[in-house]
Amino acid sequence: MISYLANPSRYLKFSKNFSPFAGWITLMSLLLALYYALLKSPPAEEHGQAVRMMYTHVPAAWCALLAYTCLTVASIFSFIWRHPLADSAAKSIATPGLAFTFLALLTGSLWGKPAWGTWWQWDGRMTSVLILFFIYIGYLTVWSVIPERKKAARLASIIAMVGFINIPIIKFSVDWWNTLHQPASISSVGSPGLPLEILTPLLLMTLSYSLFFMWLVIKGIEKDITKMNMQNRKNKPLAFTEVEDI
Amino acid sequence: MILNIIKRDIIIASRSGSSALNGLIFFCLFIALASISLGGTNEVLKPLSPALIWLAIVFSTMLSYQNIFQEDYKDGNLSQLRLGGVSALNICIAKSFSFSIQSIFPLILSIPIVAVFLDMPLSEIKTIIVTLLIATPGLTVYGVFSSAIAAKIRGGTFFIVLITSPFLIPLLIFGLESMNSASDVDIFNSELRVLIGLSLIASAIGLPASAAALKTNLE
Repeated sequence: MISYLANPSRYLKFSKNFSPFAGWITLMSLLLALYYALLKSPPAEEHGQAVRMMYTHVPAAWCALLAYTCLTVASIFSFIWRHPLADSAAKSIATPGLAFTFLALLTGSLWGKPAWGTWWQWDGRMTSVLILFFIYIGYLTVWSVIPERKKAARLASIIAMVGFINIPIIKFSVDWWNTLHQPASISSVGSPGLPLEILTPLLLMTLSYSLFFMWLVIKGIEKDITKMNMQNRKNKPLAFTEVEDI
Repeated sequence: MILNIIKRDIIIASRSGSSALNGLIFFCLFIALASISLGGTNEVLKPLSPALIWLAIVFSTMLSYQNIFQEDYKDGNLSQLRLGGVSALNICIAKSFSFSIQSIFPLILSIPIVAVFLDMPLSEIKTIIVTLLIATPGLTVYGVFSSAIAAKIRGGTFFIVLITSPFLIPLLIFGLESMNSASDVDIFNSELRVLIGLSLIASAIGLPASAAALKTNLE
């Protein structure tokens, strides 16, 4: 499947058929999840109505980490095999990843005010997500600063792989430093976690966020390939003339 | 070969003189400006002084990262070394040593003098020097890494600060945490061990990564 798609023109054909389908699925699941999150689920005991913040905050944070993991995988592919499609993938994963990280920070801050009485606190998880935000910015800066595409892709992939050290730190920061941010609610199967009527919209929202992320990446790769094709066409001379030796 | 590169770098730095001192001057200026802006009384400065010294050192090393590779890249020395059969990894290791000798050790040596101005107790001076010595590999390797990436970019100081700051934040956090929980009896607390781990991870991952980046830039 992957080796079949690892060809720009085949990918474009696939994406043209698949992306509308993925887009509609995303929209449907988002509508369903929003119905559950906003109307069907009851307010939680501790947080009251503010619990609905969770349905936007947790999936955004999840997608930020998912995006970085995908970015690292794409970077490994691009570093080892120097495949141009892997470069496009890494580049178009990073932009939504940055957006999701920003969203996680923003909604977390908005939720923190009613829950903890503060917009921001320098505790383990918040600081490490902020570091993740800076790494995304640094990664995207490499792409914009270095003009040659191949070199930029290679250097950016090195940065992405080094930055991956941060991901386990974010994941386990709440367990290591017992500070303000509460530990993960969905930890393992069978543990007394969330009640079902809160868990359902949360999982649905996570699913639709991930689908949305997938759709953004598919469209982003498509755009990047089209842009490259345009540039290649522009660089070609319009006509050839041959000078004969006399 | 590694020793030769280190020797050469140190000779160049000692002959040019001024550029090696830039970091030290920046360090002292930062401390002076910070103390003046905080009011200058000992009651205010005393609890803040470890954080001030750490910040000053992190900033002044960040500003000197640019010089690690740029000069040698511009005048072709790096390409010449590569042509002579020196591996990129060896160049990076040599540059790490010469950077820490040129730019970080002078700062650490000047701490006892600066500490007098901030009225720090002797035990605190000892622990801050120990934590900084342990953090030196981390501070150095991330600098070599970012400089290898930015070797080609003109005026890349801002770019380097942008890349390195996410990696230096954990070092800063754990360095200061281990300062806070250090006591006279037990200097090796758990935070210090995390700091040692961070430095080791930085060397293990950062050196091959900077070698790869250097190779890409020299292609």
